Amino acid sequence: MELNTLASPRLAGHPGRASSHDAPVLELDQVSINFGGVRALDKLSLRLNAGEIRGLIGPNGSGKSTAFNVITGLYRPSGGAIRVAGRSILGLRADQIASRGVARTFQTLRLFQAMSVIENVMLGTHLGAQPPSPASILLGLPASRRFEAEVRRRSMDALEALQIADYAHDMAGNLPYGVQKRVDLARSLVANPSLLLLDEPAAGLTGAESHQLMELIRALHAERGFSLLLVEHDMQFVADLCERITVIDFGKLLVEGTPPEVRDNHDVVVAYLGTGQLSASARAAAATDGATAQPPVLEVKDIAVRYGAVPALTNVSLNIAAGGITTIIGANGAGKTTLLSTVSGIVAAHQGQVLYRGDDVTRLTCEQRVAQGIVMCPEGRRLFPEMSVQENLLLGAYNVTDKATINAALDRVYALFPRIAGRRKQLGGTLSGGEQQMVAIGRALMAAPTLLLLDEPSLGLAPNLVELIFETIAEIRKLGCSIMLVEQNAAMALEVADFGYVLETGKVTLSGLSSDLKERHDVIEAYLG
Amino acid sequence: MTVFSEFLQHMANGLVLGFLYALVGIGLSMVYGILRMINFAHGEILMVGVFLALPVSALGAPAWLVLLSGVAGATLMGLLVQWAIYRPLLKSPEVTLLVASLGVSLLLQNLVLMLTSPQPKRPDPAPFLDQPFRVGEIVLRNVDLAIIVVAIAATLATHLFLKHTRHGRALRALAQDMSAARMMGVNVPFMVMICFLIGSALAGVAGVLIGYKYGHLTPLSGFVPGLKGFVAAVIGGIGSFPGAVVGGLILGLLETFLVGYLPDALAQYRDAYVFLVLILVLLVKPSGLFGKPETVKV
Repeated sequence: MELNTLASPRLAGHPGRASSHDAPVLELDQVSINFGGVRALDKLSLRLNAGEIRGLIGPNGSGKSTAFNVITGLYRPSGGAIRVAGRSILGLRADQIASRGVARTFQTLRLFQAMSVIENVMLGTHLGAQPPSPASILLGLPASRRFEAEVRRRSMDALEALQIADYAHDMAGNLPYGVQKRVDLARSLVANPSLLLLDEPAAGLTGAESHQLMELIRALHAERGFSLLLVEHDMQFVADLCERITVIDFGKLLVEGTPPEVRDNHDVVVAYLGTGQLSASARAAAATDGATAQPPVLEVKDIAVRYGAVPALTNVSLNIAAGGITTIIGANGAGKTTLLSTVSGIVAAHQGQVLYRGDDVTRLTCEQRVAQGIVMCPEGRRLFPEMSVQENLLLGAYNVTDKATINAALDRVYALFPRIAGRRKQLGGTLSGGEQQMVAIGRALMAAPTLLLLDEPSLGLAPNLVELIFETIAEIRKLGCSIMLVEQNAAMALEVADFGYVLETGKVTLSGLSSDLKERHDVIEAYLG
Repeated sequence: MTVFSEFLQHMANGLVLGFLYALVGIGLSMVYGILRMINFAHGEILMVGVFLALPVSALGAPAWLVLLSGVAGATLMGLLVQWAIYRPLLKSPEVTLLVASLGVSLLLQNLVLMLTSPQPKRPDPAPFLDQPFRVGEIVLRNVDLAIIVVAIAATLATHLFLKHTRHGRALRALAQDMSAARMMGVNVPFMVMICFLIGSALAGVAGVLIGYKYGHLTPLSGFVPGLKGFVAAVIGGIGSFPGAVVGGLILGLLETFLVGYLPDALAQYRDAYVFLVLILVLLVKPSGLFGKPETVKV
């Protein structure tokens, strides 16, 4: 009892008391923020009531993590207001916001790897607590020892609540990923927050692990009564845990409602899967293919990839037809980009083989694969920002030394994208998103690839540009190269492709002719649970 | 001498000094641009280059041949250090490379000290280079003129290489986005080698020119030019090629004017002023004149 009276008044307010009057725990009012011309949040408003569990979802790049970073003070919004328990937190530092009772976890784990679990968790108490003076610590005064004991006791409580007390004295970096995730959660809980922000708590966890985590979070919430804002790609997880879900897209509020309402909402389905409307000629190109007797240009055999302890791909096998378009679709975090990166040689496989035109290329470097004709057009365009359009294109032809061949390739790209032909001298970094995507595709074509790897070519583009890009993809196949297309916009990708694979948490769960996949309802479930 | 011609004289001296700093700064800046590493051994590569050129000079070779052998010496040394020490560390954290370069710096200083002697040396005098060169009331020596001409030629050649060749473009691309450059098929280890080759060659040019201008060479002679080249690169924005050139010129002029116009008692602390400038730049505009502020995504 005596210990509690010493420490408690200095610690962040208890959830029960934080919102004694009616002010919502968290209120975002018309919050906007720009990054180099891109509007990451566009007048986003959100109200979170005391004790509520709210899911925040949206497709890749919709602004979810940015919203977290704005709430926790890592980014400063360019407009709008943010209030925690009715008081504005604009302009406060991250630690000041934390001391108002806001705690968070990170999408990518940020534990102190070389410290023990209990030390990691004890650090979390710094967020809310006034430690005793350095002098009193140095002198080992009773007050400081009591404080230390109290911090340690509360940290152990948090570990016990998350059922990982047995690991208290293990080095954080040596633990399995699932346990590290819980340590992160314990660290955010130990300051007794009134508002907890969880950024993808289930990412990288197995089905059983994520189910256990959900039960734990539910129990903790019932016991401690904090409010919870949750970003998560696993729709099942969100739907089971949250009473209400807020969906954002392009930094704007799209829909707010209960899980069933959100799942059945047409706009949400479109935001995640896109719409498929291509010109007749683009679709015709896809239709003519049908059955090519040729052997596949690429065979992926039983590939497994791990990032640290996190499995990204497990036993993935697939074929890419010569001269065709094959699409890999699936929800965010399903492993689509990892798969492409394994084919391009950026990421090394732990197991399995990549066969290209019958030869094993698994051990070749990225550069060697480019020289053989496997060329990647990366997600997010990745243009060289301080180089002109023409220079960017010329870099694509790095392995080509013949001037005439280079000029012919340049002409071909400019004919394909007349819009960038007039901007040869403009710097890559100053182009619009759509123009950047055209240059990025053009740059990859400059190498005259046999197999073109396209990673999310429509990401972040306005609808009319998305159509244009997909029509160009149909056009590119006529140049005679095979295309492996990774897309979030599943509807559009299935329009343009001959064959499709659906990836879910690192495994191929469905494959077939894209005309068949389009009709199947389980494709939607791969995205929206 | 009028006040104005005195000003012009300082200006000319400052430009000469500035071009030397620019030659050193370019290599440091380019390496930083690609590897995010400050190569503290850069000055020692300069020193080794000129020490390898000294025997050539002792044989009575003409100055241009001495210059070429200095360039060859520095280039070989630079490539050797890169191949033997930095290349195996390419995937290590940046701080490992930084500490390794400090080690290489000390190693080379002491190795040359062991193999030669601490006695100052100089290239055999080239009478032509020592002759005065007058423009109006400004008096320079032919060696100063040579410094300006050679430095401009070397800088221009580097610029043209970076701007208009396949490998030059790849080098710039690498500095902007290494993994995207790999996706274009750029061979990263090879390009890192090219980068060290250019930087070391330019350091070799600077080394021999310094030798002819000041004629006082010891195994520690690379230290101060290396540091000042670093300051030049920081002023211009480390990682930027034009930045290193402009930064070098600014530093040379600033140093000469301070020494020229301050009272003697204060003028003797010339190196202190240079580092004061470094500190000021780091406080006020850490990204330098041409650099871009680095942002870290959370």
